[in-house]
Amino acid sequence: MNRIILLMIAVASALSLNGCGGSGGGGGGTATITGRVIYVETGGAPNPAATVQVGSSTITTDASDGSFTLLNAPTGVTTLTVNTNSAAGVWTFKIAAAAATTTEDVGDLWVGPQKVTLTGAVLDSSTSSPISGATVKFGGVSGTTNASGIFSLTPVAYPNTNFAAFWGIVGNVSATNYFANTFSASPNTAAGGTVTVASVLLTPLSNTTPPPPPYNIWGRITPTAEGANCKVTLLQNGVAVRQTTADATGTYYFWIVPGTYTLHFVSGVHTDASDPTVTVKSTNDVERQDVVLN
Amino acid sequence: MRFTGMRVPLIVALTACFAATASPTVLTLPASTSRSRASTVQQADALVKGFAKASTQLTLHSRNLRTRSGRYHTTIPFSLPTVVKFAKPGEQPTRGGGGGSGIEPCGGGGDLVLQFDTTGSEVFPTAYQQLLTNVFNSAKPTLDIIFGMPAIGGNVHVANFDASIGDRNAVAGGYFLPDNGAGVPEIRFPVYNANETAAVNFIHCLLLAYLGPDGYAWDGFEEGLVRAVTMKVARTSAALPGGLDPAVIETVLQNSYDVEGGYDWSNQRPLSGPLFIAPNLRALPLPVSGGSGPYLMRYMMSGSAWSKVLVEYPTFASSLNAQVYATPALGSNLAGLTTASQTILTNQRPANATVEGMSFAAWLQHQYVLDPTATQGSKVLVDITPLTTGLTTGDFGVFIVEATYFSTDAAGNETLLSGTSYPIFWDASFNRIVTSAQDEQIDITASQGSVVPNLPDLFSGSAYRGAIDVPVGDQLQRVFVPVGAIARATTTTPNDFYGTVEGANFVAGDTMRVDVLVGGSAIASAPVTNNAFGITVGAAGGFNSYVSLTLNVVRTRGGADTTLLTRTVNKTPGSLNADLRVVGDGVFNYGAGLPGGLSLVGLPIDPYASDASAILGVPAASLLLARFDSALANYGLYPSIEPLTLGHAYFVNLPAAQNSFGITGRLAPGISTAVPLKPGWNMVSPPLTEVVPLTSTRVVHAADFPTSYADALGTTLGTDFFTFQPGPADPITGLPEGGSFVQATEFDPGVGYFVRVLAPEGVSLVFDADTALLRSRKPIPAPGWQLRFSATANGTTSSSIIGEAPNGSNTLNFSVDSTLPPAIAGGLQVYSVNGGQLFRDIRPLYTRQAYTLHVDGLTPGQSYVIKFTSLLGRTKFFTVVDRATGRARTMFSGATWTLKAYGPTAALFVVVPR
Repeated sequence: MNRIILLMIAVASALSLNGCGGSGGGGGGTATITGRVIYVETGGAPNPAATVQVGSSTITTDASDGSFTLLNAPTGVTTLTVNTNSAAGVWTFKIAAAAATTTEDVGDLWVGPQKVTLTGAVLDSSTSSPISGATVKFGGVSGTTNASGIFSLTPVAYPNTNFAAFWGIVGNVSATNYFANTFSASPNTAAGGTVTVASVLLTPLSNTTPPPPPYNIWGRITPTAEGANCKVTLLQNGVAVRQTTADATGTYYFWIVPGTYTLHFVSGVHTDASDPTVTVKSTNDVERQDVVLN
Repeated sequence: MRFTGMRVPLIVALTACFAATASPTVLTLPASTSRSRASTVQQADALVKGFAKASTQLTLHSRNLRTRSGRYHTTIPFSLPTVVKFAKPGEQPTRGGGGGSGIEPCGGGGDLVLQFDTTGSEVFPTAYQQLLTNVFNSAKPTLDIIFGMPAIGGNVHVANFDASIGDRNAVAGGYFLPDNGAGVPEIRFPVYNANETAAVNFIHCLLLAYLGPDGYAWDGFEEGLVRAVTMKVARTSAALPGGLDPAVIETVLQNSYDVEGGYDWSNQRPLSGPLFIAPNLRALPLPVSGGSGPYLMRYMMSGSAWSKVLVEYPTFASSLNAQVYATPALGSNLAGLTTASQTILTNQRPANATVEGMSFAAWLQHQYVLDPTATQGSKVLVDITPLTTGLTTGDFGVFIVEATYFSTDAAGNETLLSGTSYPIFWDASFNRIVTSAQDEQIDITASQGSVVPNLPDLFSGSAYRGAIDVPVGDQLQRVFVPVGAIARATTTTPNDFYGTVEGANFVAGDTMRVDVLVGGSAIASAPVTNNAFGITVGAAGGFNSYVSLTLNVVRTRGGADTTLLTRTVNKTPGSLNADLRVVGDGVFNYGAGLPGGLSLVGLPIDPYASDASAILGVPAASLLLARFDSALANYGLYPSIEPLTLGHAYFVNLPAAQNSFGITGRLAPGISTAVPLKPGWNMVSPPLTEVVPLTSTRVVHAADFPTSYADALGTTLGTDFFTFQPGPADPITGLPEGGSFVQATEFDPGVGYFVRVLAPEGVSLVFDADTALLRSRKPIPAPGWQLRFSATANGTTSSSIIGEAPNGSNTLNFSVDSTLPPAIAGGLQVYSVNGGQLFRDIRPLYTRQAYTLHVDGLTPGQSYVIKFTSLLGRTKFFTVVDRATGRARTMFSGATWTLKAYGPTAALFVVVPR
């Protein structure tokens, strides 16, 4: 019937071709590799259709949605190339080696008019310490964070002018003993061929405590011994409007309406004479003000 | 250049202005201080080409969908005109006086005089120019009556921009310039292949010219009113020149102007906003599939919304325009427009000054597409199209379910998000329906993804209310559909009146019907089965035209009728889907109000308003509202978060307590409701106005059967969930500015909770309503066990599922079993035989079972890898017997077996001990 979707079409194609191919001839066998090629400028199928190649097996992407099903692909191959047949050139992706008679779905492979490097850091959300060995995937490109939690993926497809689809690409980060998380490049653009994304925070699986309430003024008071339990007063036009006590790490938090405030810190005999000023510019603005007690 | 039927058709439905971005209808393209006519033309053309490109490919995508539903006439290009207004850089577009040469002063009353070139590159073919002239001359009296006289009369140059606007992949719809750079207002119009398309679009263009530089600040009003009147005029046969085919005109309207009977389905919050096309998407060349964003639906819904007003007040637009022309500032004053609209209603029908039975203000807040509130965050829009043609055996309720997933930033720009949705299909009693494997997941790329489930016959041929939940991230859109009530495989003519009923108190022995009245006279009555109905009304009472219907939901109990709901629905020609909610509107009052200081509140109601500031009664500039986003491992702060959403919870910090606080919106009593959760911590609230114990809460993970809350603990959900307890008062404010978390044991309405999700894909938390309606609900399927049986060769795999559950059956039971999707001839296919060829065969729990598994589509001599994979519950040992060889083997989950094919089919017995 006319509502059979691509998956079924792909299966049907596979079946018919298998029937013709007569693959029972021995040897190491072949695999099937499926996926989609997406053009980052449009978020849709590349136009003209691209050519996907694994080993010596090639296929042209579907003109309507960029999907492909490469039958009789060689097993054990870990490189897939996409020739866009256009100025966007040829793209190479690492893929998992497919075993004989299996089907490997490589997902969405993004190509585009430019190639950039995507970099960022993966941090523990509770300690802000770097997470090494995390697996990062973005637009069909994958990599691993180094000891500093930094990942660098290249080549990543990048648009000339239209960022709506690029910024909608969902990157994935996973690491042992952490919740997986997603990220996007939005709203960053490339500088010198590199797009730097905001740090991706992973929450430890062992963290069973809900996150603390929101805040928009916060900071660290050092030395920690003095910062812990330090009394922090927030003043506006010389009038105290809020008061809190820093936690054991010397961190304090306020959630207050936008405005300009003065912070006053008192911890035993120690104070901060500078009484720093902080301005919350809007309700979604977060300001950090660290202080060192004398 | 002449557009042919082979070319990609186009929709450009856009009002664009050259002016500062401060105006909600602005397209930022500063006009040069030394602009010449040539440069102006160049800039405008570039702008429109961008629109055209983007629109074209969306249109093709839309066309593909519509083609499958049999609605599209392939020779008709989609096309909508574009208006481009000029202003100096950094300034608002001029309202009021026209100022250009040849233009009469503002104030209304002057006629437009169309001017066509006789020489040069902008000359139309003679016949085409004559067509446009005829359209104007023929339609003008109707335009003047329905839309009012032009804001500014005088000459309007109509230029043939076919060659310069045209793109290989785009057909421009034409546009209007109040000032073309030479002081002349100008319509720029292409040459359409079909005269009917040209006529409809030229009317639309003329109406935009009627508004001139004045108009409305939001697309929902300006484009909506213009499009509604365009439809009305196009459907008035006397208003058009002779020789045009009304059927083709109707198809043009169906494709790009009118959602017709689908209004209730598409009336969703993601349509709201000041602009229909996000600024960053205006020049985006959209792909053939995906990447469209929500703008086409916005355009169509806005026209359909205002058409509802025109049904009862045919000259409403004329009256409102006159007031805006007289006081241009009114066009950007929502409260003023609301008051003015109500005044028009009162003047025209003092005894009953309502729209669809509501005051104008109340009606307006029910139409999400007309809500100009700019909101941020991620959003999911679901478009439902029932398939009524091309159905084959077994097709009972087939719907195209298209998800559009996007996010909006502070500037109104939209990001076309990618992601995965695991849609949930529910029957009338909120048992999950399993259709086929390809419907289990919607892959969304650049905002777009779709599935086409066939919701099965569960009640021996009776229709039933289905619910389709489309969760993406922590956003969810639900749509109710009447399964088996529109068209089936055996249907010759699809029903034209169908829908669903929610919230009716209904017990065994009751019957229910929907009576349809026009002007107090009954024209039809639709029996309701399993909360769904579908009949053919035809032409009775003018049903297939602009008509105001009264729909009464009537329950008969013990021979006595009770009207549970009376709803007025104004419709345009075509079929009608009615989503009838017996208790749809209401107010949820927070018992103790909202405390001052920090608190955690939940939303048990879907608020009509999208503006959190208005809902909470706190000025936007000082509203402290936050929701945790596990993807950020941090809080999103207002206004960078979603509109207040049913089932979500928020931290709010109020400067003072609000001892009396309530939210007006949509309620869903008696309706089980799902809330989508992301991995990690989620701020949730029961989406019901009653206490929901954990025993009435289910968890849906991906395509799995729902599990009880208790069974989900430790697997997909964290062991404990928490609510917030405000701490001691701040010594200065006297209000709690902090607090602590306390373990919770049930979900209370209006209260917020933190729930931790362990599953990487996230889950949906289903809150089951505790009402008489649902007491007869079938038992929640306990886990039991399930095994996936698969056969693989040459990279091709086919699989089916066997298992046991408390409500499993030794015979075919669609509440737990599912039949195969439509077969592909010759393809590898495995299935279980039990009263049919089953994809999923679930038997009673704790019984000895023998499953007969068939493998079809085998290649003789080929070896196939047979594998059993545990999907649910404890792994069982079982015996597998090859019927061809008699070979038997004891197996367990995860084990594989090589089956050699001796023929095109094979059969295996799987014996599972008690």
